[in-house]
Amino acid sequence: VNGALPFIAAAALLALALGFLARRGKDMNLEQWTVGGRGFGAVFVFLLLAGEIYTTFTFLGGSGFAYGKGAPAYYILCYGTLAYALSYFMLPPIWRYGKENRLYSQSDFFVRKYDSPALGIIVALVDIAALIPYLVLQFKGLGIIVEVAGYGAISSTLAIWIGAIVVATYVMMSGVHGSAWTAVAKDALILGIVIFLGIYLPFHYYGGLGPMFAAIEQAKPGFTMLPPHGESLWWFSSTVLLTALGFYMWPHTFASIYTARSATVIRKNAIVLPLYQLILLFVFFVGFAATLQVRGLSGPDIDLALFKLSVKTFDPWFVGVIGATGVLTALVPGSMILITAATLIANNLYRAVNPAADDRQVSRLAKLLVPVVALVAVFFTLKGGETIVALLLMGYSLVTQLFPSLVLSLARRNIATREGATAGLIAGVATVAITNLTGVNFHEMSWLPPQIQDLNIGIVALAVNFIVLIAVSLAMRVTAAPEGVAAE
Amino acid sequence: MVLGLPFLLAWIVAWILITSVIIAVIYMADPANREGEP
Repeated sequence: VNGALPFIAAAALLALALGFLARRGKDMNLEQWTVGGRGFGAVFVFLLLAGEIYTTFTFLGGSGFAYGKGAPAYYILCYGTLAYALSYFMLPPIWRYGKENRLYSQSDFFVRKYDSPALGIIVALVDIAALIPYLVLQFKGLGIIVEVAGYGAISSTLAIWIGAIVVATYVMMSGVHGSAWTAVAKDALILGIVIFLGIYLPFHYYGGLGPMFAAIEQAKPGFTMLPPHGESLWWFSSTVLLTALGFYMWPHTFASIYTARSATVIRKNAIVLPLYQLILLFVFFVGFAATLQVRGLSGPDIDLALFKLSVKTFDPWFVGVIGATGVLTALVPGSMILITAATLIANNLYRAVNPAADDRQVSRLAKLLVPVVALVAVFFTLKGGETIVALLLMGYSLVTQLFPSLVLSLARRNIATREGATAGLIAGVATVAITNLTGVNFHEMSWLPPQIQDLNIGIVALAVNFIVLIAVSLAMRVTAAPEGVAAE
Repeated sequence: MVLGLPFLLAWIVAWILITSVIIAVIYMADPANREGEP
């Protein structure tokens, strides 16, 4: 047994213990289990929303992206900030509507707003298709962290199995209450660890931030600036825009809006979350510190930068503490995704075909589905290769397609009709599937100006979606006009 | 370089801080937060 393992084991045990404790004194019905009885104050809502940002993807991927690509990594800081600014205005109406209609999931929202169970089923299917790869990504990250931080004592396969069992157990016990309490532990740890690493490593290896960036600029000129082509300013801006719009469309993020006690809780969070995001700055510093210290990681291996540099720099026990933090960054979002996916299947697919089911049955089914969803994700994790990042990006493009019909439905007079929303969503999702499966992008169209070539291809799907939505809605209004006038 | 950061990164950080301040001002001016709305 090496010095790192006890700390990593302690993180898993802590998550389990908090899951058991969070259950106390509560009757775990569907409303408690999925949306915390709609009684969470500013701190818990903050931690849930923040918990979904600081996932293994940011911890490993953020530092890895800075290590491997440099300046394009800054986009991660930008889209969150834009999404938070948007959230001040967009989330309170969603929260209020969810409370008035006792909604549990994102799909419920569409069912009510558009009075269309069919649209609800389509939304639930899109959500699940996007959530599974996101969960796979968390498990995969967890496996990497435990294997590297444990100096190979535990294989990533074993770590993934243990992680899946731990998260499924505490989710079944206490639902979103367990997620919130684990998030408390996780955020305390990550705040301390990331800020420490982000300051210590540049000073230890370069004598400060300025000297570090100067050394990088000398060794790799232009690394800390956006390149003129490829991941250029045009790529950067279009990607920031798309991901900012998609940010709150993730069904587990959307569902955490329902946990808030009041709309003011959400508005307060819109002030603090941009600042909290700045933790990512320190994650980038770690990645930049690694560029000249850890050589030769390429392809998907760039995600190992943070841990490779930590193993090189620190004693095993401290690598264990970093590993423990990493494990929690996988478990918290993992638990939110499990709750959301299980709720969607039970509440929006099962109940849709079996409307007689009562809340108690749906609640029991949702809990039973937790280990099933976890197993499916473990299966894909152990089977899949590098395609996971591609799947995650596809997940992001999928959930972004929900944005047009959602945002239009918040207006006092919704210009989108049920048919328009459904047709737009299907057209957008189909475009995402085609562009992802064929790998087509603007760079193949050499007749386009170079700026356009750098744009994120996801823009096309969103545009197709919006055009179809408007066209079908207008067509329906025109054909329905004679009787529609009286109905309104 | 600004405060040891590459210009683009410093620019982004500055705007994150400004964003937060702007939202705080909106929050304080927003009547919805004053009426003790649920």
